[in-house]
Amino acid sequence: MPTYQDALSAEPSQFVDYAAQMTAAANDLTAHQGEYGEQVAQINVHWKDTANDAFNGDVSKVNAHVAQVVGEVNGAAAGLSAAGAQMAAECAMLNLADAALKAAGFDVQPAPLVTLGAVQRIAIAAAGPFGAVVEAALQAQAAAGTAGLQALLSLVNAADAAAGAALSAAADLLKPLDDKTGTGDENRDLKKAADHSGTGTEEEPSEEDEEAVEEEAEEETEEEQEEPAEETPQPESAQQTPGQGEMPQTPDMEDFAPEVPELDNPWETAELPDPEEFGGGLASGGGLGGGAGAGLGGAPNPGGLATGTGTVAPGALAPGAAAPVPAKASAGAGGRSGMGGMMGGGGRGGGAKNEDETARESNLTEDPDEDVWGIGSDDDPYA
Amino acid sequence: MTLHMDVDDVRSGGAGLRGLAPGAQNAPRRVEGPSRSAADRNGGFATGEAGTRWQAALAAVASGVERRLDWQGEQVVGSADDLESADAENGTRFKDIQGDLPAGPTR
Repeated sequence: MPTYQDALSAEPSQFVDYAAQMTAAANDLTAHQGEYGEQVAQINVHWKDTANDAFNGDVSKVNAHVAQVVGEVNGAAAGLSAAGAQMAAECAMLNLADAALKAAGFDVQPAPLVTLGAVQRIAIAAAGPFGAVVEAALQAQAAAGTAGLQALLSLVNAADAAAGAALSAAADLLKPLDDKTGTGDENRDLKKAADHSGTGTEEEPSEEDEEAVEEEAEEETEEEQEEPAEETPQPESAQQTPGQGEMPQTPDMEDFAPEVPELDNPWETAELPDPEEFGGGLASGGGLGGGAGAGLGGAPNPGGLATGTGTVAPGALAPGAAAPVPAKASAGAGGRSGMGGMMGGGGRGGGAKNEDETARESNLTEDPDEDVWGIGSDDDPYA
Repeated sequence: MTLHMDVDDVRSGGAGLRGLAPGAQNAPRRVEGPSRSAADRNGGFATGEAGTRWQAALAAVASGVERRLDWQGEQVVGSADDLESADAENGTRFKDIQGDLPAGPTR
């Protein structure tokens, strides 16, 4: 709240000038927004995709924000300009009144308080017997002057308080945009989606998962080593060890190899195994990533069914992106399977490995001696 | 959906956005002097202090816009770089696959 002396020495026209610059600042913001729009339009000519849509969505937010700020700036400028003009007029009146009282010989104290001046006291003394009357008249004028000055000062104070409150409220309305400090998650997602090799950008499995996968790989490797080569004819690329595999699609082929029973002769599994051997139930691997394949076990198996499920890393959701790691984990969930395991193994048909037709045939339960299919012994490749 | 990007143009556009960002400070810079002058020459007036606060708030808003435009430009440039690297990566992958295909007579 300005004092009387503050009001006398004030230059409220500065507020008017400030308001004019506010309006110019709003124009600066508008001009900057225009340049921004031109730049964005130029970018959009050369760019069309979902990332561009997201970019333009953010551009719209910025434009809306700047437009709102421009409106608030103009509003503040208009209010300050009016208040500044009002205060300038009131302060000018205050100065005129102060000057008039002083010209009349009164003293004006900072309160403000108008008192009789030295010249007036001389005049009272010179009035002789009428001195009291003259003094009373001058005191009345001084009191009226005090009231007038206080009224004008209160007007200045009221205008200042209103303008200050309005400007403070306007300042509170100016909220900066939230910062975006991310480095572009969408870009990382794009990289994940674009990586179809299944190596490099996928999430690293936890230590436990790694150990489990290693154990599975060791078991399966041992099983494969025990199998005679002629009983599991496969494409050359599929018979290569992981270290020898050169095809990008098959670096982890052995991790996904179906669990073939340890058989020297595939026909030996023609007899149903002891159900108790499969107390844990039969299972199969999942399909591609999120697929869940259920292996159908024999009826006597107490464990019944078990399913292997795979989870897909977010980055592997792109079309054509196989999810070898989740599939590997799901394949390991199955127990040693008999027929059910082979049936479930088909769920991986979309994976990176071909069907093992020989292994599938090796699990038929028919007695080979009966030749139920009418295949002559001459045509039986296994004879 | 149509996917299209002129990588160099988009990259330069992003750089242009980043160059444009500091222009947001023109507005608060313009009112900085008048706000200080109005406060100094009108001592005791609440309006003077409020004007200074208002200028600081506008400067904060302008800084926010500047940072956002700079960030947008960075993202645009990053998108262009990303697409270019992804394209190069895919090209390399196909070349690798082509090199891994067994050479020889077809059956």
